[in-house]
Amino acid sequence: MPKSLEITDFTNHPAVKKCMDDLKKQFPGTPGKELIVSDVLDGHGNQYVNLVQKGGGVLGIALVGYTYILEEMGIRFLRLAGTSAGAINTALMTVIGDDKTVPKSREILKDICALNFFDLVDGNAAAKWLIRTFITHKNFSRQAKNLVSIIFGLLAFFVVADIVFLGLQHTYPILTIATKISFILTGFYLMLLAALAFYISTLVKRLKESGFGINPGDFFYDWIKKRLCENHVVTVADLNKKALATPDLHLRTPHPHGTSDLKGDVTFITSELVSQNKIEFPKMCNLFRTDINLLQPAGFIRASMSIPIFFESYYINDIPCEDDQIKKAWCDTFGEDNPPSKARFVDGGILSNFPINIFYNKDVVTPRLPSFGINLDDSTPESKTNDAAQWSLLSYIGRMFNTIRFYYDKDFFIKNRVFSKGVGTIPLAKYNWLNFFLTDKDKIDMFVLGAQAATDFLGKFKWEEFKAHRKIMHEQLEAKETAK
Amino acid sequence: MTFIIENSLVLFCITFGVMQLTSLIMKRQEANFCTNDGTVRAFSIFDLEFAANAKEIVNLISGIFNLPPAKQHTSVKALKSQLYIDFLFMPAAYGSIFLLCIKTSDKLTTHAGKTVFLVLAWMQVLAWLCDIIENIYLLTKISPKPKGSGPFAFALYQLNEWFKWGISLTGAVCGISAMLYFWLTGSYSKDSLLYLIIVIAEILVIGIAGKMLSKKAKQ
Repeated sequence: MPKSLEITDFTNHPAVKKCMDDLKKQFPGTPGKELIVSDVLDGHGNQYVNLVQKGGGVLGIALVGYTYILEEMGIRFLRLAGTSAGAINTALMTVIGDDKTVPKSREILKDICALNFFDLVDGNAAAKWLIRTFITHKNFSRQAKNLVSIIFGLLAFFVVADIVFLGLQHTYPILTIATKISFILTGFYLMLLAALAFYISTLVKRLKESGFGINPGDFFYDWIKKRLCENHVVTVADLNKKALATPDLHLRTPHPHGTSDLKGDVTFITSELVSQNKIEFPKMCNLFRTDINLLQPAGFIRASMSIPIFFESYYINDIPCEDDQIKKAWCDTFGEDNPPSKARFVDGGILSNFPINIFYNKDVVTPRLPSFGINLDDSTPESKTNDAAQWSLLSYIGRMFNTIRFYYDKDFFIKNRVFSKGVGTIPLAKYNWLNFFLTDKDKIDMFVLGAQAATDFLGKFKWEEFKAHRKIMHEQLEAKETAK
Repeated sequence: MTFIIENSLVLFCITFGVMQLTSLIMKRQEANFCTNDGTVRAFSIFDLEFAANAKEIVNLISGIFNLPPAKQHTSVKALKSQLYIDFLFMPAAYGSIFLLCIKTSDKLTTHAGKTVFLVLAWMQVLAWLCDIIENIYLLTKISPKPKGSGPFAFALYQLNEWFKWGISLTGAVCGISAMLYFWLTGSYSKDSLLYLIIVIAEILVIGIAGKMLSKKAKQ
């Protein structure tokens, strides 16, 4: 029986150990050489930051490597946000443990070790086969083309054989038997093709009936619900309570606002297709129920990770759209007078895969704590340099889609460049974000890449510089406002 | 009305073989067709034959001269030689269709059928003439600054194309369909099987040679 993964396989990996050694050497904790990333501290000396985690399918394992290093270096998280895979990690970081002072990444690793990622692909056998073949075979499209060529080639062969034998039997009557055999074989082949066509049409029909989602996503829903329940989060109120819980904080340097207004929260981003809006859960729960505890918190994370087509959409049915409270909520939030009676959610990544903008507060002059972001970069060098005129139709459509879906977040970074100073990028070009058939080695390697990216980031991050830039940004905004 | 050609099947095997061979050569040359009409891209002879407007022909040809010198030389040479070899391809291709239609006309028993296929056969001469005009037109255009045709001249060029393709495809499709009918009903002589085998062998040999050449070119 193969050895199952253990937490130490990740944390005791030589590369991870080296990261920790390097950081401890760089920041031994002596005055002038300590790691300073924030002015907000707790009684244990932990420093607090806000954290946003990007979505990226299975690449989310790398996020854990990143947060593990941050936590080991005494960094804790006050406000958390994430999309898709980032939402899963965000949810676990929110609910695990009783307060924010304890590190969470080891516990998340425990869950990862116990999870067989392929169980998340819970569609029918044909869908599983297709996904596995498509993901694991680099030349899948060529293989598919070859298969189609063989199918039509065989059909052509049988038809030609029928014609040849039918013509020849007039001159050579002995070939009559061959003609009959040829026609019988053609009939059988056509029958096989008809059966195949019928099976494909059944799959397409099933896909349509399931809202164009290959995998129901039920396994994931049950899995995340169990994790939440294990950590005493059953209702939305429980989730909010956990997210809000804030330890006693104090400031490294005096600040006019003190620490009384510093409170934790959590945000999961998802895209709602009926009203065509970006939804932030649990903040926007009041749009769907008058009693928010009637919603299931696990659903928020399920909604955030509903990769279109790959997973079925997540629905919230029977929204009391005639209720005045609901109507008011929709009107106040989106300016819409007629709320939908049913909401259909897909992956938040189609709108905002890296929602750092939710931590933006224009009134902040000097920040007390920074907003950190973990970026997952799976783009290959070739994808940035290859000839735009030579793209295939699929690449062309993909580029258009990506331009649209990434620009919302990109626009925020362009306009608020200081936020990019808090972002560390994990290079993951050699991994496919939909490869749910990861080997244990792949999981460990991704964790290591996350740890290395965090080490690199902490080595370069300058808190005082961040604060100064944030202040300049505020002054520039104020100057613009005054000029208006 | 009958028009009999002695050894028409032997002639057909020869013309069909020459058509296949020249077609293979032209296909190889076409692999070198490249232009830079804003973006560097490959093109085919059909882009010139079925251009949307006169400007497109001018852009395609002038684009060749925007390429780097080595690529420009290869592309111009390939285009010119393909058009010249096309003059050898024409008699073989239209000749094959002509012979196919004549043979069909000969085998048919009804007067109307005989006449239709005889007309189709002789119309291949017209298609050949159209093809010659097209090639001369294109050859005169190959220069760094080709002169664009006016709307009337371009309309005539398009009409020329439709005539050429319309006549030759009608002749080929009708001829092959009639032959298929003769084959399925057993209306053929045992001696003609040899010629059928020769034609199939020609298709196979040239097809395999084409595959091998393109594989070699990829390497």
